[in-house]
Amino acid sequence: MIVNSFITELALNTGLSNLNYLYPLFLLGIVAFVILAIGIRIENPRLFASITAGALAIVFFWLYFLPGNPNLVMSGTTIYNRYGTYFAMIMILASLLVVFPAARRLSKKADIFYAILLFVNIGIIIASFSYNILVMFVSFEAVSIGTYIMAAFGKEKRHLEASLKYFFTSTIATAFTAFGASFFYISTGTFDLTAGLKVSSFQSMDIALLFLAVGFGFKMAIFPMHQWAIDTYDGAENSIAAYLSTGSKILAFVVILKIFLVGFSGDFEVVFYLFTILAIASMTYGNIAALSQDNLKRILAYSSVAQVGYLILVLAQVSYVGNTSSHAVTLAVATGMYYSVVYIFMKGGAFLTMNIVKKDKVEISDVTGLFRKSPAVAVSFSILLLALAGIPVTGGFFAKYNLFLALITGQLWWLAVIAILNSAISVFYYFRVILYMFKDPVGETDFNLSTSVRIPVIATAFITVGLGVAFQMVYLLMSVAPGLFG
Amino acid sequence: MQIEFVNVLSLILFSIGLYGVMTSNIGIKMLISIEILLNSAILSLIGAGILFNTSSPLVFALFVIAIGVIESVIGMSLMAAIYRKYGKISISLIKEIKW
Repeated sequence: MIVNSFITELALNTGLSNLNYLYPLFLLGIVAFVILAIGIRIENPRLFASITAGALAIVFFWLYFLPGNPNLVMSGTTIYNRYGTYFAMIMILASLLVVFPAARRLSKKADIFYAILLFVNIGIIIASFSYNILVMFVSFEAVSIGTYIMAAFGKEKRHLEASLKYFFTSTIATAFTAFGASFFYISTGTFDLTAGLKVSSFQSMDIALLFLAVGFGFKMAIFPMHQWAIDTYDGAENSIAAYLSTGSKILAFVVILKIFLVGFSGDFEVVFYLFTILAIASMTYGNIAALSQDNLKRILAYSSVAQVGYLILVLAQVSYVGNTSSHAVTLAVATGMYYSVVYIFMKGGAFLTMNIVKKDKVEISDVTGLFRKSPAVAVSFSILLLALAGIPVTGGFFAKYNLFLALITGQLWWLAVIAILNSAISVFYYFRVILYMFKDPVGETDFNLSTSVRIPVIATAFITVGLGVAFQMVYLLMSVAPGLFG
Repeated sequence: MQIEFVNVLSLILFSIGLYGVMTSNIGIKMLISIEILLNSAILSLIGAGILFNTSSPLVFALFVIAIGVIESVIGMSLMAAIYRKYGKISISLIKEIKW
């Protein structure tokens, strides 16, 4: 009787057909529990990696073939459109990128690692479709909590320290987010972002904006809130650093886009000033700090702070133009989408390249003479670094080109000039790494060049160039981009 | 009841928690300070629920409580791992990663 009424209510609230959208999540959860169950008897990282990759690939195509639904589903908290599907799919790609490289260093408890990776993906899918702060908060925390545990994997003290720094800064950020959500409710009377369009001019709205910006800024590692990221990417296992700097960072970008461009659409002036200052500071600091580094993983970490600065220029541009149906805004959002997928491959590939060095702490001189040992890996890594710097033919160039084009279309040419100057600075430190690779080795250098290390590097380099060749994708994405605004 | 009082109280609690987590060197103390931070957010959410006479902020508060519990569990297990590696739970010992 009770069950019956529950099902009726569920059907009324969601429309039973909408349960279709939950089945991919059920699949991921069931596979995760199956991995945990067979992990009691079997310790075979390769097997678990294959199961995980299979499940993620199935969900990737399942999401693609699910029909979109323009209406709010799941009690009015979620919009299933092509925009959300795109981001969910590229973040699943980011997980797929690290599944096999991570297996190399996991001798024990590999089942727990892969189960957590699948649970994290459930959170990612929900967060990328959701338009309600409550649902976003819970699913984002599911991702954060999973990644704290993933960052601690490994035997060294460094891994523990990486996880500890990530844990403490991120929990403080959680408290900031919850507090900001409370003030959002006080000023609008709802947690719904699409309903928050009727924003009042309460001062509590500005407090909410500040607290939410600090909370999600920590998670995305924007300039004043970035220091944990540098230490965590340096200390964590290479493939886990690759995941943290791509998957969970792009998720933070998706959530920031939705909260500040949809939820605070009545407060665009403050959003513009806040994110312009953050973007300029983040770009400049990331690039200048990377110049004086000798630790290669820290260079990549600082460059990811700079890349975040470029990404949040999208927010500055959209909030400056204001009219959400104009061409400039659509171009900016589509560029953000294209930049995200290019960023996942170039940054993930660059971090996975660190596996060639047989040490946990990778100095820039450790890659000396790589070209002599393995030209293919050296050229691939160079392509990834050139893409990060924004050199033509790679995807990184077209991402930056379209970003600057969007800024100029929106009359923000001065911001475009600052961004171009910054990407000129960044060329120096990327080229420094490339020069080291092409030097002759001084003594005996020892690289780990097994197939499982080489394949991800070469594959990501190919994909980065391929995305550059397929730069027309931005114009395809422009038909999807208005989905951001519901 | 006026909402301002609840908000001011929760902001004061938030500042206390932030001060505690920034100045302390002992892991357990930092975890307790993080609990204070999360509890100030819960208090503010309950104030919002009373102001609008609705239940969704209260639901949010329940979720914050649940997430706080999970975070303290992970924090405690990290402390246990630190104790096993270093023999003490002092954050200032942990300085492997440097410039």
